[in-house]
Amino acid sequence: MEILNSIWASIVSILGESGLLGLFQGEGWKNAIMIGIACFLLYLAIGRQFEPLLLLPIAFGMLLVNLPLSGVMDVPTTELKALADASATEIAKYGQVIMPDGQTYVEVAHSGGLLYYLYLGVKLGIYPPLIFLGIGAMSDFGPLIANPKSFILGAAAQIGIFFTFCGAILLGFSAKVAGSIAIIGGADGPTAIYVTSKLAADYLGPIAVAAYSYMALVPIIQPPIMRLLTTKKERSVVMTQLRTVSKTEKIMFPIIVTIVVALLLPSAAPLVGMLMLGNLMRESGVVKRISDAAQNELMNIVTIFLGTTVGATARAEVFLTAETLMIVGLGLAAFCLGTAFGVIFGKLMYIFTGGKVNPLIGSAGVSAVPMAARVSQKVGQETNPSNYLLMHALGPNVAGVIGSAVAAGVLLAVLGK
Amino acid sequence: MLTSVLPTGLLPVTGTELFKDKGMLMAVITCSGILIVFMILLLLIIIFYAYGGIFRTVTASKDKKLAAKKAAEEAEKAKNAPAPQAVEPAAPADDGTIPGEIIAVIAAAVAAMSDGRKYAVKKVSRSHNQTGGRTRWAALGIYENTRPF
Repeated sequence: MEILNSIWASIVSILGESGLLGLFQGEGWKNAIMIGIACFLLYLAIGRQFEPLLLLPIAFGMLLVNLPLSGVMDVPTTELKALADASATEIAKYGQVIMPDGQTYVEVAHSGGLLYYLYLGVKLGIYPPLIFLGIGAMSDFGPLIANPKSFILGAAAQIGIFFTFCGAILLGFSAKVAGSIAIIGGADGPTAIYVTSKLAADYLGPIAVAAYSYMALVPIIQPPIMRLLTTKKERSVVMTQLRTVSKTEKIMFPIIVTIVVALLLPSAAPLVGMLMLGNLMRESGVVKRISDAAQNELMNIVTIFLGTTVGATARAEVFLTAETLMIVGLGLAAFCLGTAFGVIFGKLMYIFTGGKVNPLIGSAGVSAVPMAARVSQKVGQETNPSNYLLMHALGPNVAGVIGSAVAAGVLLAVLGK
Repeated sequence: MLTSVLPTGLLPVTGTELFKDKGMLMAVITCSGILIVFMILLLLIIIFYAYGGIFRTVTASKDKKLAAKKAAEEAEKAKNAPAPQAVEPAAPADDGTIPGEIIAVIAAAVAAMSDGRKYAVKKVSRSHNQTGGRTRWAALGIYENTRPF
């Protein structure tokens, strides 16, 4: 009988210290909801394949951090223990400290959670530029060099960012948080994470989830706006073939862009600089191994760290608020405005070139490479099945990456002080 | 940065003070943000138009020189070559408007796909049925290049 009592007592003790009980204590129900949201996002990533490369680690990070007592994001701490309370091992490991009160203590250090240490790469702004390095190594700026007018569409699609900033301010967000929410309109996950980590790190979870969700929903969000703002005649424009770009031009491009952007807007230098470094490695052809590593191994490793740790910032107490709903709504507005302004400027180019530019390529200015360009191609082909807009849309698409990095630099320069 | 773009005396001195006024904050960030983004990207457009122009001029002049050199070499070769012997001409496979290299490529492609059997290209004619302003070959090339996306 005594044995049974001991077993029961130990079971109760284990259950009392388990995370399961944590779900039913205090605000543990919030964690339960977050676990449900994480599972739903995992379903979207696996079942529906919505940006699975990012959504899967984000959702799993969210799941891990909301499991009570998992401690994956615990901050490292130190505890002062009186000498009498400390064990011999602790004394040997941490040594003794004499405090101003004359007492001798042992300063016992408790390590942080695994994801806390990995999260330092986000907090210190290391991962997003590394992702940009990989994107640069994977991008072909040829269509943009062949048709530099595409830069206008890349700039136009960023207008939504600044209008959304006003919306966020009117809804009562502080300037720094408003800037972080607005950058969702750039449709560039790493840029959104970079700006938010610098301006409003507490909002990283909801902003990253909103940014990546909208990037995954590009094929659903953009086409209705594109069709609404264009006529059938405009959508059916067949654009002339782009000129061939020489290797030297492609090599010079990243160098010139880096010099111009970093000189004019130094705060954009980390993002634009790494993007262009990756591209130079690709185009120069002399560092193929490094270029391949940036495109594959580095990109994949950083994606795992970035996704998981960003997901781990979505703790219940931060995520389950009315503000998150507002962020999701504002993010959608920013994205729609960016698409709309891109198409409107595309229409202007259609008018000024005498009908030579198909306005549909304007929507690709919202980064999201190559998904947004693919959407331009798809919507164009609905009207004229023999129309191939993809290469033309890739110009504004990569211009959008540069444009969103520049917009991020503006927000950091103005609000980051 | 923010204070540097604002006229002194007209607005508060520091960004923090400026942020107390929401309307001013929104106006300044929206206008200056859009302006700076457009300014930088317009500058890049100008640079890359000029840059593209320079490259096209340099390439055109190089091509011209190469063509002139090739023509001179061919003229020299023709001058030194022995008189051609009369050979029985093969039956023309086209109406004379398609270059011989193209016919050779088509014949090679047919041979490559022929599973060891022998074929002869008897006729090659131009198709004027184009796809959306492009030839079928151009359309196929674009399709091949864009399929991964």
